Amino acid sequence: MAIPLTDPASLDADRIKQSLIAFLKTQSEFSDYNFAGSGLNVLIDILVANTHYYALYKAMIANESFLDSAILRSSIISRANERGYLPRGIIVARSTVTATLSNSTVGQLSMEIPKGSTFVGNYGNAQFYFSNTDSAALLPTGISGQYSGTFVVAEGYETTTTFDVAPGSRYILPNLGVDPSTIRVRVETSRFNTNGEVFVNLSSLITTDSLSPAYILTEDESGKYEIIFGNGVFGKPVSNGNVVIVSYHVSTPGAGNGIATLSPTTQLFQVGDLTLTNTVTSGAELGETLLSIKENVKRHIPQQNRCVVESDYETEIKKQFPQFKDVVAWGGEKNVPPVLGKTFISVLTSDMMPLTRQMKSTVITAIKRKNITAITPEIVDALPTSIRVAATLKVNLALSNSTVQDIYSLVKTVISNYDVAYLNKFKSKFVESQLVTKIVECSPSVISAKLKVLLVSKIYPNLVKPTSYSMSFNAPIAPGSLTCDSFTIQNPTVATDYKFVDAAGVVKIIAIPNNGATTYFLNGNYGSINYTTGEVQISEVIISPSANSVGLSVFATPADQDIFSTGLHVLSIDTTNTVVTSQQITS
Amino acid sequence: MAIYTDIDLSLKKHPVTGDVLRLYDDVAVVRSISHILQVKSTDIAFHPERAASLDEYQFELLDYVSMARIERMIREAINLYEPRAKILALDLTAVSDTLPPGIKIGLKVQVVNSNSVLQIDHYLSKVK
Repeated sequence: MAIPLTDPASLDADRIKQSLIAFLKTQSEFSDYNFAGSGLNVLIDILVANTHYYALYKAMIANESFLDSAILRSSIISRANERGYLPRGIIVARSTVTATLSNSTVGQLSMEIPKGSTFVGNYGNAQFYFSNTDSAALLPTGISGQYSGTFVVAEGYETTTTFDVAPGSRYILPNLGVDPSTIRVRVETSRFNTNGEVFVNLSSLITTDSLSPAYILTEDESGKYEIIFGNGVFGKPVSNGNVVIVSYHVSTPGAGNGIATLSPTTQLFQVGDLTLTNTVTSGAELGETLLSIKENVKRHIPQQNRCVVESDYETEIKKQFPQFKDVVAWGGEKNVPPVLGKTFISVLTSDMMPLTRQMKSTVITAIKRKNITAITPEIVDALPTSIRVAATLKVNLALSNSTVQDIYSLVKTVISNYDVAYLNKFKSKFVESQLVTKIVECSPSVISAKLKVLLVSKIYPNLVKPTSYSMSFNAPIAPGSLTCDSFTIQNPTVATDYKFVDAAGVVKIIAIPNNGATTYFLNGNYGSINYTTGEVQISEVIISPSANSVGLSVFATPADQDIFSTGLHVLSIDTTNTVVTSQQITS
Repeated sequence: MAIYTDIDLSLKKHPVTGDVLRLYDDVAVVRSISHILQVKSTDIAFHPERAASLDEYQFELLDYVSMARIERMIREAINLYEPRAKILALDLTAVSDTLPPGIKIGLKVQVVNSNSVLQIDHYLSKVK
């Protein structure tokens, strides 16, 4: 007699028990299956526990066998390793330090700062220690007794782990918080013979043969890095008795950014005065999250670890620099006029600021290892365009318990959430009706909403030299709508504010006397406006934005309140200047 | 004709038929009550409430409070999970002058729909 599998897919213990009892009802030998203390019930409970355990176990095995459904980090790492993907580890905060040693010993070829020298800096109340990852040489500057040089320091400390090679050995770094880019591996012949060679991280099997001193870096089940040496076919193997010496940098994950001043913890030189200047520490990132690993593994497969088509560049940069919010790449043949032999890349940082030259260089170096030989990657800055939103609501306070201020706060949150969800990336869209719907849905009291949208572009005036400016709102703009924050010009005759205004496609400067006198236009034209493309040219002028302002904001009303960003343009809502007003109705 | 039929968890075989032994009626009820008294809260997956959990008192003092609680737990467990038996008497006796010390449980029950009165003796040892 077969057991009736009334619900074979269920993992619920009670339902499994009901299935077994349903089976027992069909026989006449035993009748006590329904009594909790009966021997039959005891046996059934054991069988249920056993069945449930195996059902759960098998479901878990099935789940953990696939990247999409895996939950355990060890499973996800294992699935990623199968596809040749090494999840990105933590990135330590770094800074470039320029050291100048004055009044020191004369006539030295160089002065050395040893690898691992420590430096300290404060961020808020927290103190962070940095050390140089390589020794630094300070070279003579030409001034007697003065030496200077630059070197990179990284947050945390250098440490070394030594392994003896034996059958079955695993080479797992014992520390968490290891930046994988700092791992250096040296294999020596034995404890008594320090001859050896440096092994490098294996990046491609194509260039690897049986004698290549290379290792593969993987993450083990506990999140620690494991070094795997070659098998004699791909990569040189290590032999019993060899000694593996691994040095690496251990840091505080995600910490140590934003420190402006570093100083050595000990006196580095017996003679001379050492002064240090450093770039603000930056770049610290936590390791890749499980969600990110799952996403990147999928992109990693079609990309094949190379940069050939546009999406390969985007994938590779996102993988190596997860701190970037968005990346866009395109072939130079799409430029007007075409620029052949180049791939252009634009990167959006979390603070919407352009990349520093050093960071651009770092990105290019990372890409150059994987892109087509004849193609030159070039990074161009993104062009941020802000949107200022003014919302006018009709509200009926009787329809909810909210006050007007509550509703204003809710609406501002909705607008801010819309900004995070839909904008702040390349190829984004601001759709007025979409935002209006979300505003109306945020509270029963909001009956309707109307939006007034302003495009904002910023210029950073040269305060001393006549300079021309070019900006683009990247959207058609309404004639006559151009304006800007007030500024001053050189040597004004009276206390007066000035603004750019749109005079039928021509940029003029209007003077607004502070004493209440009549406004007037300055002589001459100061540029032109293309209403169709949204491009604005301002001819050479010296202007100063008003105090407390970084740059000069220029505004224009878009011809259409649905705005689409293309190319390098990135839309974002200026949430600090969102204005919400309302008209109360009672019916 | 037996009303209640249960399997004998000694799993001995019947000398004639060769089948596993079966328990009938009164014996089945007595064995069922014994099981209920022995079950711990962790024995049944997802149903800790289906246990008398007398072992929880293994390391309690042999005082009146403990005895009263044990008596209450026995009564609740049998009333809930053995509807075939009605408790007629329940005697708990603390035993400390013999080894191992513990509680002697004397239970007199009547099988429902039957005239049978059954005596069940159980010893709750203080030592495992």
